[in-house]
Amino acid sequence: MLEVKSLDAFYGSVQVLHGVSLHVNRGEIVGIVGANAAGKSTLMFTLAGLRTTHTGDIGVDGEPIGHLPAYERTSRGLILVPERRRLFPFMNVLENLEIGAYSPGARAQAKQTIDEVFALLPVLAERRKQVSGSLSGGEQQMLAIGRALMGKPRLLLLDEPTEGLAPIYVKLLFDLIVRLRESGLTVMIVEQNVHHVLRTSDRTYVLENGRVVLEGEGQSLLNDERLKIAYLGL
Amino acid sequence: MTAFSQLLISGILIGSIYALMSIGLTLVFGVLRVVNFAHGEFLMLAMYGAWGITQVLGLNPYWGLIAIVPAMFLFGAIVHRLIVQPALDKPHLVVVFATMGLSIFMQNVALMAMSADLRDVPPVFAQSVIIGPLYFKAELLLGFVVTLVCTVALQWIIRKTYLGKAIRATVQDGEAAMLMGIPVPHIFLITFAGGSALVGLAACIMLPLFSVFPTVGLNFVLIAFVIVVLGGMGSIEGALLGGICVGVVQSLSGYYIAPAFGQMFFFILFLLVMIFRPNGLLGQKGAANIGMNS
Repeated sequence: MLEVKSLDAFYGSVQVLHGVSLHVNRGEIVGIVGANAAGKSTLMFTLAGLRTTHTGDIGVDGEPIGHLPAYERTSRGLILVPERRRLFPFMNVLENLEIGAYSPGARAQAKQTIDEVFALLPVLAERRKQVSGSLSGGEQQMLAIGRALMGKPRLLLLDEPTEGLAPIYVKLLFDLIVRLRESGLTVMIVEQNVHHVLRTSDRTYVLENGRVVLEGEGQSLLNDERLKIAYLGL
Repeated sequence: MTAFSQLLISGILIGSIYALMSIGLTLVFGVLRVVNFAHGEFLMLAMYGAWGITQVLGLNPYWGLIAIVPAMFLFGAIVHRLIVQPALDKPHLVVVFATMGLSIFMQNVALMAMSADLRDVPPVFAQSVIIGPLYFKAELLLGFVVTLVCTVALQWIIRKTYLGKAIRATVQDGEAAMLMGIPVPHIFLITFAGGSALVGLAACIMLPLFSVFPTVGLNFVLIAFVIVVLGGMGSIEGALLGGICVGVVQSLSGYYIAPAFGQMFFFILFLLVMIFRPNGLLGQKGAANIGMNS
């Protein structure tokens, strides 16, 4: 579904990603782990089309999308839930969800999708008129994912979704990710919480200094000494 | 008491015209975080356009709306595409100087093309409106109604339509808006062009009340900046309230103290509001910073 080849990404003249190649198959959960400043969030921003300049290939279902602006990648089914949620703080829950369905294809089905999101995340239905900035951290994360689902993604990119969440919400979140995969969605997740990612993901890539240094099935990587070295930067 | 009532209501009416002239400025600042220093010259250009229509076609300036509003939308779109958009991702001073440069350029072109002469049109309505002991220029009353309709319509667009919600989302977090599929560069263009179209609307309403000359924009742009900051930067209803405050203060101080001190008193009001309500009368707390968290 997602094919990334020889991806170099830059902030101005500073190169952050060096020849990253990876792929995500339809229906997979793929994890990206690595120490701080390994380039995980840069990878997500580059895939989503924000902030960086890049060379190399990014393709979704065989179609190159690397040249498209961020707002056009959304309509190709690639939607990022960014780090720290980035909700629209002065809009209520319902308005945030409606904005998630801005692209024309998603907008036509917005009413039906809202019902599906409320069925999946009932807490959002209870808070539909509440301003998003006043929700708890966990509720905000659920709203961020609900807002992304409104765009009818085929590949959902999650950047540090458990950051700042209480343990109960971390568990709820990973349960939700599994349920999303069961419903046919493909998920790529960047996460500091390495144990949760490795248990949940089908495959995981380990990034170090902007390079992929390790790839494998989540469960098998759990006991891999090289992961500890890469992850802890030892 | 009659004089006071007359002055108060006249102040409200003239203030609403000022507000109409300022709504485009606050809209553009609210969305793009750009202060358009050529706003006054946009007004001058549109007033000349409306004046030209009255001279060539013999129509009253209100008919000029049909041509001037879309023409100013197009002009705004071109200015945005050629001057504002290329400056958006550069240091903030670049866009400040770009719009200042445009302002000076437009003034001088107008001076060459139209000379420094004042041009005006005769009153549209032959009689004033009389309500009890109070007299009002019908053109002012019409301007007041247009401003109210415009404010309500804009609020409805911003709150109820997908375009309006996309504008609000862009204001609150432009990057996140792009992730939702909102074409933020197009939103910027539509907003800037829409702000210019509103100036066109204001120009047609103002032409029967004020003369037009190449530097007429300077007379009004300072008032517009005061109104935008007084009402709360980016707030449409704030612009209405700010405009009315400026109009009333100008009207009362001009009569009871001296006409020459009218501006001084609304600047005193402006300073007091800035000291006690730095976000403006209806401004959102942190309005100057929201949308800049990327």
